[in-house]
Amino acid sequence: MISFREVSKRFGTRTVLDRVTFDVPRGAISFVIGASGAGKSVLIKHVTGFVRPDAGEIWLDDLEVSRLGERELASVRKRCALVFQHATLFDSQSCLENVALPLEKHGRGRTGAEIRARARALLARVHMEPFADRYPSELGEGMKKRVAIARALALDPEYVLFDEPTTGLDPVNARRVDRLIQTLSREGGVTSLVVSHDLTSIFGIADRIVMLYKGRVRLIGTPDDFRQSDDPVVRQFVRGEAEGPMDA
Amino acid sequence: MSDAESGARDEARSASEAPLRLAGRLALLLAAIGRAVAEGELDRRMFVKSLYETGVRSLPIVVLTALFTGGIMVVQAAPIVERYGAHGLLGWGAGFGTLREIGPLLTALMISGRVGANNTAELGTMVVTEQLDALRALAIDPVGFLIAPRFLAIVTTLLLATLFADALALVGAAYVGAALLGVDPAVFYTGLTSGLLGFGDVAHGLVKSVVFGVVIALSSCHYGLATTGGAPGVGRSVNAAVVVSAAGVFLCDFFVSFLIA
Repeated sequence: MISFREVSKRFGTRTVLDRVTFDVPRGAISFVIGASGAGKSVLIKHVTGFVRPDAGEIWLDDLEVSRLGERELASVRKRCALVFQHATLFDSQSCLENVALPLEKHGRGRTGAEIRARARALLARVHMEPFADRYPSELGEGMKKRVAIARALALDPEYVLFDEPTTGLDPVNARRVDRLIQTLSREGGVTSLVVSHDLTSIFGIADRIVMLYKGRVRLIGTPDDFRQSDDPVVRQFVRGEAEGPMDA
Repeated sequence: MSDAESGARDEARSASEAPLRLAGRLALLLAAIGRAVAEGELDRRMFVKSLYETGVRSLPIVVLTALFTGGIMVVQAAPIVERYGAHGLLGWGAGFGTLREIGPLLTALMISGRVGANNTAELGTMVVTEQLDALRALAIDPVGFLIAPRFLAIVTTLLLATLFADALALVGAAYVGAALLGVDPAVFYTGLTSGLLGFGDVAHGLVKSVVFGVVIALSSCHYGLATTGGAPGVGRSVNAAVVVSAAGVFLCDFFVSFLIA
């Protein structure tokens, strides 16, 4: 389980997170939603230690991540993969080499052939195996994102943090990513924490939703709780309305 | 790594950065590289790849520069040599200047422009596109995987390229001497080996080349890691790295010359 306890973060004079507290249950698909700039990406980057809280604690099972040093965080990052908003593939390496890299560096495979076979299997999982020898510059944004997901899954993480995984994808590829997240959770027992404002994804696959507004938790609940909420801020977001109480 | 990297990102912005603070940042980066190498985290495959990129691909420009440098030295010395009939000293004069000063200095400036700038641009682009964070997210230390291999490749390249450039510059000088002044290459060679020049002169230049390599590698990596602000930020970082590398090379040249002499 991932637990955020009273997490606060400021950048300069701007408070991005203000005493945020919630749990991400094991095996579930949890979404963090909110308007752009609500602090969603900053929040999930706390889990892998890319951002440190000014106050509060972040726990990964019985490990307080917020107290760990850079070297200790390496073991957390093997268990908890982060898929960035942009694909962040290594330009100088082919798709296969990108996916094989963590396998090589962490000794997941005895021989080069075994590592390449595992990397190809991971690419096949995201329907990118035919493009294994292509370089990132030869791929579209959606394809790159799928390779980045394959790479993140290379170390068999228990947790996967997705930062806007469907942003910039066409609807077909977006639903494929949704299905992949669902499969990881239902069949692999992976705990997913997804930052998104893709309403189709949110109401399609979420087990649990946390809404952030002005740095604070506005509502935690199931998709039905959100559909039925009377909170005008929640209603405006869920319905995607231009007019309402939310700040521009 | 994180101290050096995040510190660099926060504080290093331009060539006008306070010299003491910059020196501190470079020392932290050097310590991080040393630790990665000592702990066996150096990625050997990346080192070989970097060595190819920095070394093998720099050969044409080093060859061209070295041959003409030797020639230029003879062209400049020609009037004096002619006036005093000091043809026998041409080999010594060209060797002394090339081995101790011109060879390492010009090679360093060429490598700084070609390799250092490229290194900063590549690292800077990786930083602004979050590729370095992606490495850390995969529990891969960017210093062991990216920085240490590049650092060692640049230092090794500069050492070997200087040795190579010294030899080529002398060949160039010998042939221009023969063409311009009629000095037989055998006479030129005798001037080189008559005892006025020794291993100390070669070592003097090689020590400098290692120091220059460290300066260029550290500053190019530092400014690459310090990049912020997208494409314009990459441009600023490359500019700062080239300026600081060149200034650092001349500064170190003076102090190394002074200390060794």
